[in-house]
Parts: sequence; structure tokens; C-alpha cells
Amino acid sequence: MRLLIATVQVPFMPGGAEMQAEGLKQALRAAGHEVEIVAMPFKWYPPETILDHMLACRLIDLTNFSGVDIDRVIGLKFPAYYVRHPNKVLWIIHQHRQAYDLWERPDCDLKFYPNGAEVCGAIRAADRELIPDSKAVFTESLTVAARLKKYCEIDSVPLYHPPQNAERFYRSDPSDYLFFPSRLNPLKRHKLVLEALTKTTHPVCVHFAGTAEYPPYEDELKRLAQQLGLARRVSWLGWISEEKKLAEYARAACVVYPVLDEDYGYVTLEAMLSGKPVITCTDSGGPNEFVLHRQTGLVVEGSADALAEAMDTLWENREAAARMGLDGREHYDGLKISWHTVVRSLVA
Amino acid sequence: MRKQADVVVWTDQEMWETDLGAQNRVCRFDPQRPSWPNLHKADVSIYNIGNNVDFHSGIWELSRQMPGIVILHDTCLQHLFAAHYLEKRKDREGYIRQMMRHYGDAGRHTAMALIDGAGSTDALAIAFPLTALAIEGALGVVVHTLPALRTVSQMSNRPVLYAPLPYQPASEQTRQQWAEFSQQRRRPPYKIVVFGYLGPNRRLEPILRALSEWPGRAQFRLSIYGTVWDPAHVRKMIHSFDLDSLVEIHGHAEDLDRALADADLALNLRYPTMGEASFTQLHLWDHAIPTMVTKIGWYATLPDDAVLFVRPEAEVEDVQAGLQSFLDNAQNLSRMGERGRQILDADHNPEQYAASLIAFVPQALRQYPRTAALSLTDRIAAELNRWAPVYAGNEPDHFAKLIAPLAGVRETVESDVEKALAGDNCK
Repeated sequence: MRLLIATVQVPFMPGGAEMQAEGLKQALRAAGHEVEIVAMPFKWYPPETILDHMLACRLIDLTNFSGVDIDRVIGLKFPAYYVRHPNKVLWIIHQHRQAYDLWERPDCDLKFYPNGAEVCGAIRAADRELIPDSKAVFTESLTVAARLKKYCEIDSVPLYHPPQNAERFYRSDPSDYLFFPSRLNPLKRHKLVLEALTKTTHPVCVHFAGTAEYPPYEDELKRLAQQLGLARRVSWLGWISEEKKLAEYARAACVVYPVLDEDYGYVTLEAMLSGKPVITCTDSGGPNEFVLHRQTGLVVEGSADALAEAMDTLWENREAAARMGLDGREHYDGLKISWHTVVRSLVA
Repeated sequence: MRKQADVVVWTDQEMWETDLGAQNRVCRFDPQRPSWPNLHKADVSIYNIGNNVDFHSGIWELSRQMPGIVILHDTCLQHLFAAHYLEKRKDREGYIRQMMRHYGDAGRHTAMALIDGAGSTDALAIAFPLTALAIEGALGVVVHTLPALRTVSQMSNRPVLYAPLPYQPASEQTRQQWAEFSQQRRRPPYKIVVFGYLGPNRRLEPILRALSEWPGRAQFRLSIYGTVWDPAHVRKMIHSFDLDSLVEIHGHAEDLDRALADADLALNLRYPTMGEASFTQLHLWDHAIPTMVTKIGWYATLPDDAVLFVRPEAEVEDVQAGLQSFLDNAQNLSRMGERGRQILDADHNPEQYAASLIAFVPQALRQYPRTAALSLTDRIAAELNRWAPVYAGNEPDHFAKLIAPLAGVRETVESDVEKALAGDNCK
């Protein structure tokens, strides 16, 4: 088949979605299909800009190029999944969450504009109207599927995929640190981890890897760590290479990932591939689809106290942590997460 | 509303009534720099818009930026906008631009004439009401009269709710006390009241003329309560009509209810009417006072067994006939007052009003995509006009069809575009 993957990208801000699109492209090619990624730039401010992007995507017809038909389009991200094609399937990474679950948060950027509510309403109306235009709707996780059902009353099928370089993750003996790899933004709740560190009874250390989407936020976090007297217990690794990332996972005592309502969360799967237990929270979304409490990690309330207790538990019980890590790897293998399943579903 | 919703009262005023603050959470907003995150905490904002520039100008400015439900307290809003642009914002160009947007060249010429000192806002309020400007930021519109419902429904595709103006009536015990107080005074003379904000459209001149030229005038005393737009002029009229001994201007009444309890007849005339229901009339009905009203707008829709009508073209004659009718059959007029009180109790219940308003909210909220889509079509049209000027032809309809499903407004946007193409917005 000749396929196009339709997605959006914020220029110079590569992230998990870009890896996912690339992974899908490689998997489709490996399965013998011709495939290209069509990535449109996306900007979300001021809010009316979102409408412009929605319309721009809607006006793009991906049916035929140079006289050759495109057999199928796979839409991944809002609003790229609005592109027109008679044989379109969606594999939704996420909707524009500021118009849905994040609208309830006080720091939702749409709320800082007078027309925020109307743009939010337009996004919701467009999703309801245009998402069902597809042959099939898949989501990357149960969490995304649940939101789609809750807010838009649209049924979808979750379709898990493996993280990039899944086969390269390995396990080493644990060192004295917890690993938290993630972009630095408020939804990842780095501050909660810092606050929890002030409450642990053991001298728990955390390695943070990742950069900030908004650079001043990184400075804010580092300042906070200093103020809380945690300078010696936290390391800010910034951007790290793939090799370094694999090594950090391999040597971690466990992985801490207390994010707020994550869509999917590669980190959870990467930790499991590395044979490491994961500490996550009941409100973390995607990670809860994989972490089994007390079996492959700990799932605790999203508070500093609960997080501190969980970190202490795995810090002092290294044997139990190691066992959970191995069980996590076994659990991952049992899920049969593979690109083969993804490709088969999307081209069916 | 508090019984059915979490309500926050927003105002741009420095002060508000103590009772309001005691019973509600009251927040201040700056029309120039509103706190959007705080305002967005509500599911919907409800804007009260009438003709008082001090009270309504800031609210209207807010409503244009952040769509919400607009409650129209008048349908002719020329006074608001003339005062807003020309006095408050000192923006003559803005006023001319709005008049031209809504009424074409006629609007522009009229606006320029007004700025040059020719004519008055009273004179052009009916022909150039600027109602559409008042509801530009409306997800839905609430009106209190059937004529207003017709007017607004014809001019806009937005949902419109008709809900009679609410009034919290006095308790039965209070009404009984009023009745007892009223019985203490010997009659004649009979007491007539006029009250409220008394601008030129409240018809004091024909009222005074009718009284002065009527032989039985000595049997009445006329009391004027409230704010008179030009007290010196009114005093001069009273004197020139030789009514100094029969007419008294009281100004603001400390105890208006006591004054009304003592009244036998009320005059609640309007010409022109700004198009909405009269809170004054509801207050009069709470006291069951028989009332003469002008047969125009909402007043004309009132049952003829509840009010005495005064024709705009025969004000003096009809006021005199009303006074004679009172003398001839006071009981019949008293029944009119009672009938009015029945209407008040049946149709103007605040709880019913609040329930209607809350039931209207989901319908209004469904309009959010529509307002977003309309702003998008404006941007597209502006862009197209730069390099492919087609907006004057039929092409925008094609664009509207592409845009509309994005916002769930398929038919609405099309019909809006059709209206715009037909030039409705400039009529």
C-alpha cells in the first residue's frame, strides 16, 4: 500500500510523538508498504491560531499526488487527523487536551484568553464531527480512548506500540539513584518529586533527565531544589544520548514517574524493558495501564507524602525492588506489544 | 439562581448594595484588563445590558471579548452606544464606524450629524437602535417582552429566550400593612404618582398639560419621585401650567413603598419606548395601583383589564379620560390594580425566571463553536480579499460550507453568510 502518516510537529521540539511517527513509518516500510510522514507545523497561541490550523488541515486533500492514489492515510495528532482522505484511519496520540481534561486546570493556557472557551467549544465540536469520518479509530492507550469516549462519545480501540529501540534496553545491578527521564514541564510533576524528597527518611537520590519546553521552568526547578536543600541528592542530566539513557535505566534502583494523566508514557515501558520497578500515581493515566501495584512497581496517591513513602520503600528494599523489576519485564513480554500488531491493525 | 447554581456577581462599579454583597460573592472586574482565568471558572457569563452608560458600558465591552448570555434590558440601545463612544471613550470614529456598519451611509450621516450637534440620541434611538451591536458577543439573548423576542429573533440566529422580567413581590403581611396605611388618609384629594428615572420619554409635559387643562384637577395631587433629567425645566413647566399647588417634585424617596402605599393612581408613560419591560410597572402592580401606560411596545401587550391605555397620538386627551374614569368608577380602576398584581404574581416570579435562565445555558453554550467559526470566516474573508477578492460574490458560501463542520454550525454559518451577502447587516 502507499500510505501517508499525517501528524503535526512543533518546530525544534521533537518528542515522543515524533518518535512514534518515525517508528510507525519504519514498521510500515518493514512490512513492505510505501510510506511518508506529512508533518504540519503547529502553534497553539493565541487561541484563534488553533482554528486556523484546524482549517488548514481540513483543506488539505491527501487523496492523490502526481496522478497516483494514496491508498490510506493514518492520522496521529490534532489537528492533522482532520485531513481529507476517503480511506483514513486514526491512531490518536492525543487530542488537544487543553480543550478537554486540562481545561479544568487553573494553568490551562486557553483560560488566559477571552476567546478560550469558544475555541475550546470549536475544538470539541470539530472532534465530534470529524473524527468519525474515519474508517477506524484507534488510540495509543486506554487512557486516550477513555478521554475520547468521555468527552466526545466516540468509541476507539487502544493499540499499544513498543518504545523506540525496545530491543536495546538492558538491566544492570542497581546503583543508589532513582531515575526520572522526561521533558521538564508542570504536567510531569517534577516539583512533586522534589517535595517528596524532603520527606523521605532515607537519603534517596534522583537523576532527572530531559530539557524544558520553556527554559525558565528548568531554572525554576533547579532553584527549588537548592531552596529545599536537595542539591546533593538530585542530578539534572539535561538532554542525554540514547546510550546514556539506556545506561541510566539499567543502573537505576527504580524509575519514578508520577506524571499527571499521561497519554501513554514510554518511560513506564522502557523501565519494564530495563527490568526496573516503576513508582507512579493513581492519577498518572497511561502508566497505570502497565504498572501492577506491588508486583511491577508501586501505584500511590499523587501526594508528596505518598510518593516519599514509596521511594523509601523501594530504596530500602532493594531485593523486593529487583524482583518487581524482573516481574515488570515478564509482564511487558506477556503483553505482546509489537509494531507488527500495530501495522496489521492500521492497514487492515 | 443561587438555589440552582454557583453564582458569582461581577461588577466594574466601585460600590454595590450591601445586601448584594451579603448574599453573594461579588468580584470586581476592570473592563480594560479583566482576569480571564477567573472569568473562565464559570461555565458561562451572563451580561446585563441596558442604556445606562455608567452601569452597562463596561459589561458590554467585556461581553464583546468573552462571549456569554446577554440579557437585554432595552432593545433600543442608541443611548448606551452614543454615550459609550462619544462621552466615555471619546471615540468619534468608533461611533461613526459602528453606525455605518449597522446602517450604511444613513448611519454614518446620522452619526456625523449628531456629533456636529444636529439632533439628539432620543430622536434617533428608534430608527438606529444598535441592538445588533449590543448582542455581538452573545451566545444567546434573553429578553423580557414578546416584541423584543420578535425583534431579536429576526435579526440574529442566536437562541433567544423570552422570560418575563422578574420581580420579588412583597409578602402578604407587607401588602396588608400597605392597605391599612392607605385607608388612613381621607380622600379626595387623590394622589397620583410618577416615579423612576424620568427622562423626556416619560412624558411629563403632556401629563402636566392634561392636568392643567382638566376641570377636575383640584381633586388630585401629583407626586413625582425619582431622578428627573432636568428638574429646573420641569419646575418651570409646573409653574407655567399653574400647577404649583397640585404638583410636587420629591426627588429620591427614602421610603418609596410608603409613598406608593398612599397612591391612588399611577402614570407610567413612555414615548418612545426603548423596547423592554418596566420594573416600575411591576413595582406599581406589587402595590396594586391602577396605572395608565402608553400603548406601545411591551405596554401595548398588557391586558386591557390590567392597565388604562394612553395612545401616543392622544396623550393629553387619554390622560384626562383616565382621570375622569377614576372619578366615575374608582372601584373598576381598583380592580385593574388587583389584576395587575395577579399578573405580577403569576408571570414575574424570580424563581421561574432563574429556572428558565439556567435551562437556557446548555443551548447557549452550544453556540461557542459558532462564534469561533464566525471569527474564522472573518479572517479568511480578509485574507481572500487581499489576493482573490471574492467575498463580494458567492464564493464565501463555498468557504462557509468547508468551515462549518469544524464548528458544528453548518446551517447557521451559511445563513449568516447569506444574510451578509443580502446586505441585511447594512439595512
